[in-house]
Amino acid sequence: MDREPVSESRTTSQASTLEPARARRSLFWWFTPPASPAGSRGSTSAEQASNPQAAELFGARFLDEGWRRRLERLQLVSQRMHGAASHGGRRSKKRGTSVEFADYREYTRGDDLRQIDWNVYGRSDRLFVKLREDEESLTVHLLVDCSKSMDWGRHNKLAYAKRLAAALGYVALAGQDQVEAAGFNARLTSHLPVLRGKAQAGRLVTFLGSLQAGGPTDLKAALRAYSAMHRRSGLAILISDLLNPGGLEGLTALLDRGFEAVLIHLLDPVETDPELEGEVELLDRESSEVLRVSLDAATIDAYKRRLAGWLGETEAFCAKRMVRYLTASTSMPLDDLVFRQLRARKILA
Amino acid sequence: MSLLSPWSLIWLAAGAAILWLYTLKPRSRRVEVSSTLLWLSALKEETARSPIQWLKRHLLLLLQLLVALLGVFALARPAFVRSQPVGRTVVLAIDASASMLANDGDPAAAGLRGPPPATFTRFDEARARAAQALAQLQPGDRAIVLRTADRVEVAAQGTLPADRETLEAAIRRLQVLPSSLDLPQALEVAGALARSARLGQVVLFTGGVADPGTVTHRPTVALQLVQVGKGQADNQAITQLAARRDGAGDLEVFGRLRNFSDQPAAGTLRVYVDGELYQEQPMTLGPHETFPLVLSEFPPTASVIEARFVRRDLLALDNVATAAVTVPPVRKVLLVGGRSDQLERALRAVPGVELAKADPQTYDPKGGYDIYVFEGWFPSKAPPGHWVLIDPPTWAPGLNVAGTLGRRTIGNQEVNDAQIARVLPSPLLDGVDLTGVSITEAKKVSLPDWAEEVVSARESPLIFMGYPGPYRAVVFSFDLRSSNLFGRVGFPVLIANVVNWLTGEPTAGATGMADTGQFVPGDALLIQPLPRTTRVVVETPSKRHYEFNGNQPVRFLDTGLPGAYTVTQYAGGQQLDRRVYVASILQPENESAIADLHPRDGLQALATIGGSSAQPATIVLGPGFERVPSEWWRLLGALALAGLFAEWWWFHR
Repeated sequence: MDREPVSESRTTSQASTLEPARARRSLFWWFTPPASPAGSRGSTSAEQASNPQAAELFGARFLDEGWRRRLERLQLVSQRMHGAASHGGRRSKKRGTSVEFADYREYTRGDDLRQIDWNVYGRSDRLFVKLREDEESLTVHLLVDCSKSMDWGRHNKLAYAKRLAAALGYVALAGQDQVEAAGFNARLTSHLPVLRGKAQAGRLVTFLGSLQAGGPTDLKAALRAYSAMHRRSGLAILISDLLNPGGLEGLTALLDRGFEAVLIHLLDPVETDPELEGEVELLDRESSEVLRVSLDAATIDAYKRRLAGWLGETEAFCAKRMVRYLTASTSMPLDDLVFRQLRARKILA
Repeated sequence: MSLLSPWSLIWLAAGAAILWLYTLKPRSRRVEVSSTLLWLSALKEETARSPIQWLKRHLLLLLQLLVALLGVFALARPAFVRSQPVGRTVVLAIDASASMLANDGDPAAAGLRGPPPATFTRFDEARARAAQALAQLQPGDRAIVLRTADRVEVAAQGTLPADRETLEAAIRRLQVLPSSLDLPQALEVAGALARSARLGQVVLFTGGVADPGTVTHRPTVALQLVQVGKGQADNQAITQLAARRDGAGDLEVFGRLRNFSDQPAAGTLRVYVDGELYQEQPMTLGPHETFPLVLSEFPPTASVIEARFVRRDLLALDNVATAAVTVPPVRKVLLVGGRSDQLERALRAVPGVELAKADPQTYDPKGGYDIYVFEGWFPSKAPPGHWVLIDPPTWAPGLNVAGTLGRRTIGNQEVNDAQIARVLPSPLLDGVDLTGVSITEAKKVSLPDWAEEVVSARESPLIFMGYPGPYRAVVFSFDLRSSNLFGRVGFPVLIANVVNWLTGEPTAGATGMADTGQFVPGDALLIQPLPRTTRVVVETPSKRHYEFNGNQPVRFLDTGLPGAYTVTQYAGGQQLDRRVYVASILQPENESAIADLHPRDGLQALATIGGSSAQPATIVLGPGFERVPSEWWRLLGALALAGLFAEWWWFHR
């Protein structure tokens, strides 16, 4: 089972040859369009590589301005309103102070007298207060599984998860939503506080690029810990391979805190279609345990049946708890996942 | 089902080798996976599906074991044994010995209805029951009819139903031979004939007189013994009769009359001389009593004596015995040039020899003698009769005499090349011991084409014999005086043998018919005509006469009847010789095998089928089928091959 080498080492070596001064020239250096041979608008290749994490994650592709603009046209879909600490670009059911009229209600003591609609009072001798829609911002929580099992696969799952999280985070930042990110394995390993605005996208990418794989997975403990840190809910996007028995229970902790959850289940093609046969010793990436098996067609069939059953169980679990669930193969191009699959599942709009 | 090669099952041990090889699993390779979580679940699920999963996992092993099992089983040659119809070969061996003429045949057992015949012998019953057995055979069966006595003959053989009449006729034509039954030979021949068939069986019809103790090897075939006759034993026989002349020339006859019955027997003993009743005497013999006969005072001319015990017993054949007085023939011998008295005396001592002497000067070549003896001389033309030449001269016609043999010195060593170096079997040397005979000098003679060696030195024959022309000849290539033969006991015997051989008489050491004048009925009677004989007449016991040309030996074959056979030789109208030969079934060594009609104990023990009944009512014929193994290893081989293909396919799928 060959793993495709992650592009980290390659891009790192390229970055080390660049000029640091030019990399620090602009705060939005990594959004600057690359001076690609295709003539795209934006920054030069030196600028692209001035953020090593970005270069590691996306290479030239993410820095493509056209691609960024395509992302900016997207918006994360939240199926319910969440209490926001700040006003944002997203309508709220709460009546607020915006110019958008929402409704009337009779005046009660304590209401802001400035909100009384005196024209209605003139016509009806009754005091009504104008209710206006409040525009609030959504907090998007990007939770990336950084266990050792994610650092595996023909297309490295963790790298894929980082790129996906960065894309979703950029969509959120561009949509005036707040973004908070965290990496975890059996516990929270790193946390990025709330970011707001596209200008913070560099921090997000830097954070994601710094995530390192290690340790076993304990979704339940990690998600409980994360939910305990937050009094305000939001849209939690969990990117994981879920290779943790009983890990889905961790989602319950998020849901109980009022989080709206999206689960993106990453699988490597080798996991869905093992190319193994004969006598093998299976070395567990996380536990280092060895399982001696004699693999034949029957065993492979049994594995595939078990995988399909597991995916079905996970989907049923999510459906029961109103968690949007998507299975994604790391062999799927990121464009396809972001612009087609996630939109099809109403995760992006 | 049976295994034709059960030892091949030892290859089942190959199964252990297959199992051992199967345990030697290939080395595992280590592969890193993201998690073994799903693999553990899948394996648990597969284990839960056992034993089907177990079978699928170990299908290769099972197929290999199955192929090995099928292969080994095929090697063991499994076969179903089935019955297959096959034509039987039944050997109907009928005892035709003299005892089968016993008059106690059972007409009822033979299937005869109506009043019993006056005489019904065991042989009649045997033939009838053989015919019954023949009738029991099915189409496709094969039958061989054997006549068994002292020799075994195939009377007829054929396949039913085409040859049924031929076989029945052969059974009807069978005749008893005046001899005893050679049971071992009969069983051996019949068994060999039956064994050569796929499904053979022997049925022996016998009166049961033969001694089963003589059978040392019983053939491994189905054998049924059908005992014929009623088992009676009332029989008396003259078991021995011999005649001789005493020193005074008077004839004496000695014999033996024996009662083989368990009861006393009274009868009359009659003695015939040359066909005429000479003496008659009533006699009563006690049970198993033997009465010696000593008869004398016969006429001087008596030559054939016949004794007859007159009584109606079971077997009339052995109630008569004949003896002949042997009269040596007269042989005229001419001794020419006799050098020693010893030779003359030896010639005169030969019975029947009339010796005349002559010198070479008085030798008359016209003849008139049966034998000419030349000593140191030989006429220019061979004599008209048999001749003996002693110490041949160099001019002897037909002989190449080249020098002499004898004592001589070669270097410092003295040798005698005339000494006897080889002694070959010859009638001339019957009863003659040449040990110690020394010859000091001999003529060196080349062996003629017509002669054969008798005694030889290292380089030359010393005595030889042969037929140089119409007459016989014997040559001594040395002077008898140059040897020490004269002083030896064997010398007269040697001379007598020479005379007898020349005239066709039996020599001293000969046995059988010749010395006693008695032979077994059925044997050939050999007659050597005298030199001047022109006609030989043989008269049989039934007074039938046969006449033969006298210029060649006669082999007379019509000797089936016991009794006196008179052979007379004539030269023109002149009787040269008359001699009587007696064919007799009663030899002292086998008298009980013929005359003692008691069935012998233990005979039925030789049978392998038909039970132990002394007289089985019916002939038991074996089944008309044989058990044939039907092998089916080919099917197993095909299955093993299919298993191999399946194993190959499963491995490469």
